[in-house]
Amino acid sequence: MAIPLEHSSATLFDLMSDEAMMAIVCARSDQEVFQQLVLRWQVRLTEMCHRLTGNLHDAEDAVQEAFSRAFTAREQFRGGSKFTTWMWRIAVNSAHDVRRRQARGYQADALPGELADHRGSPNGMEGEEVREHVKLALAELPDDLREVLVLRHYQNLKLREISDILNVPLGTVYSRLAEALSRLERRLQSLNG
Amino acid sequence: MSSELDTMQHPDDSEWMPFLYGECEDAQRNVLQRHLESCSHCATKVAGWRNVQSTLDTWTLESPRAAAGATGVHVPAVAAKDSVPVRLNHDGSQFVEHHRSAGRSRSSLMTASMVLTALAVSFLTGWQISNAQHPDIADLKKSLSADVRASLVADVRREMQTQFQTLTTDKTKLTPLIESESERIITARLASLQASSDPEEKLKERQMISDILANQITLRNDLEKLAVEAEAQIIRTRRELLRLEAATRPMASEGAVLKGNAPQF
Repeated sequence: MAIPLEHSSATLFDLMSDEAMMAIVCARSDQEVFQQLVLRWQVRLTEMCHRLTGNLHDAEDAVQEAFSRAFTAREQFRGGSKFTTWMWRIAVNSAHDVRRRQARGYQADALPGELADHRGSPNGMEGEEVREHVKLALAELPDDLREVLVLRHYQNLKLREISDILNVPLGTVYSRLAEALSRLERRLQSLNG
Repeated sequence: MSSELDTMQHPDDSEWMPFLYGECEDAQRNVLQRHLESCSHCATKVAGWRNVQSTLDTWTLESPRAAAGATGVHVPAVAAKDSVPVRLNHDGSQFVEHHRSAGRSRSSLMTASMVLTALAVSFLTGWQISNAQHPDIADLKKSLSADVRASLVADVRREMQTQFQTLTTDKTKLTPLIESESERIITARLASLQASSDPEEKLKERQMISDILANQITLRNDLEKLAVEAEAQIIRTRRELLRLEAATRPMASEGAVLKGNAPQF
């Protein structure tokens, strides 16, 4: 019998793919099954939204909104597509929307007031200072550059997946990523004095 | 340096991205790597990006699970029967509370039946549900009537019973078959060994007999392992079915399910 024994002790939902669970959600408007998908992905999505919005509070709002949107729009999910691609796209859009609604742009958790006073090589600085420089530099990136960078660098998604999620050509993902890295390099150098 | 820049064709910035993130095809990576080794202009640029990458890594987040705390995800209600929205904590505690207080609704039972069916079918067929497989929603919808589900669950149970019996029968039949066939071959080989006067030929015959005996032992062991593994799997699956059935029955009959109303295989 070709039974994967290592799966035998897993819970029932753990054995199901995202797409199989979405099929049930779509067919029956089943909240309980959808909640299992929420449990499965909310930590990762919260982390992504935290990187995109710069703070945990907005990230949680964005994830809340993303799952609500996903459930409301469940009929739009097509069986032939990947759940994560669809869900990530909704979450990215929600993160942007939450920030815009807050009308305050990207706001990091705790930006230091006197970043410009820091001098010295980023590699030689204390860890906290480097982190604050990174957050500030990311905050200044346009949304379309930041999202590509966050998805590739922090979420570790493949460039092809990012292209699918953002619904842009692969070449656009490459060029946005290159632009994001170049801008960050310049900005980090200037922060470093 | 300027003559080097004039004569070399530098890859576009965007071409370096798959290289930088380890997503290049081998051939392309080799081309870019060779270029990097011979072009200080590009080497400096790539080193700068790599420095940015390592600097970005300094921004680590504490575990979102812990950091997220008490806030959760709110799934909107979509129908009258679902008019009470569900508040879900990140650790799932709120979900459990809701699930219990809902009194194991008919909805839960139907959902569980579907999950049970998918799980049991996957056990029986060896089909691993994975992210790579996308069921056709339209097809699934067609198969969702209560009758079909009930019938499927019954079929799954019958099929499990059949599979187990088949395996047991196969084992019973195969073991003596292997042994009698081995015995027949070994007897023939021994006769051949006694008849032969060539020392080299005798050596070969002895080696063959030894190999046959070793194969026989291996085959017998494999068969035993297969039977044990299958039986263990059946038991585990049955336990999952019991657990699911207990979890989806009305609370009043829960004890009865566990004590005497277990599915029979």
